[in-house]
Amino acid sequence: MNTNSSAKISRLHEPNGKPQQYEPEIWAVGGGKGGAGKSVLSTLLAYWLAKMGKKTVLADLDLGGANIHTLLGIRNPQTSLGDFIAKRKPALEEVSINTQVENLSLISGTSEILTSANPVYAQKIKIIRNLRRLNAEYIVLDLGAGSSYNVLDFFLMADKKITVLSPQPTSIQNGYAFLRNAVYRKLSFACKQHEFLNNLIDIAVDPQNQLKVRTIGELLTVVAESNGNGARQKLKSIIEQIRPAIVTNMTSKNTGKAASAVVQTVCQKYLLLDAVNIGSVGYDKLIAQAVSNMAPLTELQQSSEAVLGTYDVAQNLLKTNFG
Amino acid sequence: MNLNDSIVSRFMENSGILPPPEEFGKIMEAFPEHVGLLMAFADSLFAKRKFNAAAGIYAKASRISIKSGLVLQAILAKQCEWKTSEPSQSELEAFHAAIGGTAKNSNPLNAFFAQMAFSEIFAFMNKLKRLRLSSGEVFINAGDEENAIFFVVSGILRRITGGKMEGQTEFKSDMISAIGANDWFGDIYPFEKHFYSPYKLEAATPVEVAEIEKSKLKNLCGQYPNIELLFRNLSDCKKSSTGKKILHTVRKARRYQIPTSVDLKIFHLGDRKELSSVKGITKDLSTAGACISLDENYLAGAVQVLVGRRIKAELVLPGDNLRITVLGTIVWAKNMLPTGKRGLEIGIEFDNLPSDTAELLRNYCQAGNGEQQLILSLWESLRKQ
Repeated sequence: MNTNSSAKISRLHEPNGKPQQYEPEIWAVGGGKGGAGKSVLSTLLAYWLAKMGKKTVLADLDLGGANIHTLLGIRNPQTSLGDFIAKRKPALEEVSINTQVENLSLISGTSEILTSANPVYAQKIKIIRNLRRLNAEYIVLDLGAGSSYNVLDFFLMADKKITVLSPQPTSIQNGYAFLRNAVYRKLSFACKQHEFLNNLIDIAVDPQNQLKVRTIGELLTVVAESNGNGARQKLKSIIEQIRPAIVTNMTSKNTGKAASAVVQTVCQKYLLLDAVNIGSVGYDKLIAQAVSNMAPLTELQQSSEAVLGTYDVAQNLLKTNFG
Repeated sequence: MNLNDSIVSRFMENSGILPPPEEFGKIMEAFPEHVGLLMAFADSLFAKRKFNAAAGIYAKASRISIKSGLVLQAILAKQCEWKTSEPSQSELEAFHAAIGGTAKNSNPLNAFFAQMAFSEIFAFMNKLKRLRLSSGEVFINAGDEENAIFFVVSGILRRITGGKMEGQTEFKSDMISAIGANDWFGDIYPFEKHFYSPYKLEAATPVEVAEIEKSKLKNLCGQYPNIELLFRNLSDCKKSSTGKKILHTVRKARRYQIPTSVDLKIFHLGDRKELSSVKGITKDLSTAGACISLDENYLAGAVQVLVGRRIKAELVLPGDNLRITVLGTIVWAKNMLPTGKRGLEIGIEFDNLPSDTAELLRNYCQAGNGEQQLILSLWESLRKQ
């Protein structure tokens, strides 16, 4: 988190007299199930950051179903991430477009990326590296549904990893499955040079594996037995770095807290993962109406409970130290 | 049963009877690459002594089968084609190469054929005999001596195990499983031993098999020792490490013991009319199929009529209104009466799921049993607080 922004600003001030540069903090919004409200939440978080005076870029990385421009009332974005991927535009800055909200720019997504090529890991690194070069304080990534490697990799590369649930058992199960996949993806990647550990992690991914390794705790015990306590500690610290934020969307009464508590408990027990409850956003039919009418969500402002609720979530995300 | 299967069934049930040309033209246009349909049509032409026309269609059926990795079907089609005209050496070599080029790991039967040498495969083909059964016809009875091996080309057979219970005079089936295309039956190896069928086999749909008699296979193995080695491997596939027979219909996807409510519609064989609607609970579930305990009100004696039937299942995900609809086939059924419970269990093989449904089901399954249970029980208790 940028608790000391001024220091970073001065450090990044370029000697050639160009406008001041920030070191952006990246927030990724993911979660297993489609329909949990990831795109709406991403848009509203970016909106509130911008309203707080923070230079913000909202990037649509839902590579299969980019639609966030519609939520901002933009029908046909003139440029998109696809132009950067296809090298038609050399810098991400050039595919970022201004929105009606001051301080908020948008990098529109495109399905073109999927058809031209699924970005390989190096391309994902390139996208993230270029996102970090943007002249913004915050970058909010809207990730697609599901647990594909694309989604997981962008999620894991972010500084704040936000998982969105809705208060239904299936959404909770999917949210948990998403985090589980993220943990194993991170471990697998960390051990890719170590054949034995990599194989072990591959086996443990299957919840019904023959080794009867059912939890990360059990996996770490096996790792300690086979490769020593040092390897165990290393993997444990890798998991500790993940610390996802849980946001429950479309809640009623106390269901938000309950949904988050379920995921936190199961994550701790099975994944040794310290998930943080960041809050919930109530169900609001105005959001559904705005989406249906293709009206910009940002115009709802204080009339919408969900928009107001997202303000608290944004504040909590800013305040919470995920380090 | 889907439309393709029902059309082919009509051909097979009425072998030798051609539909009116305009109807047939439309059918072939709709299913230009349906091997069963091509074979049925070619057989009809052959029966009418239109050999050249039949040969062309057999050749097409063989080509499509090879392309689809269906080696047994390709062999049968080629065998029929070559009845009409002697193949050249280059044709034989090309066909042998095509068989060898199929994925050896795709199924045990493909591996069996693909590993045969040039002379071996044609010697084996010469001994194969095509047989057809109408639905309901009994193939073999429990206790009959097994004196041939049968490779299933198309259709579904019911394998019924069971016996007479104490104080009862009638044979009661307690477990029914299905045998489908590219499977085989007939316990004949080692050749010196005598085997007796422990089950009754009957056709659940029109069935075509390729038979090779035990005595002929034994002689063949005497001439070609490699065939015996391959056949021994094939026989071993049916046996588990303990030497017991393994169950058929081994599901390709991992199963998860997640109790999930199911609303099941069971259809009549050969059409889409509903036979019955019944509720059940999954005992295990995967993206490829499910084992379902049917509601206790369902008649326990229904096992014999269920296997081979098409179903539509709606899986009701717990605590939510989300329903996953899948289509499939009942591949086995088992009475629960001997265990003291009412009702029965059935095994369902799903059709290929659409990608979004498969993803949903995979996510539902993959959180793992312990995690699933914990999530659901925590949710049940926490949401009420």
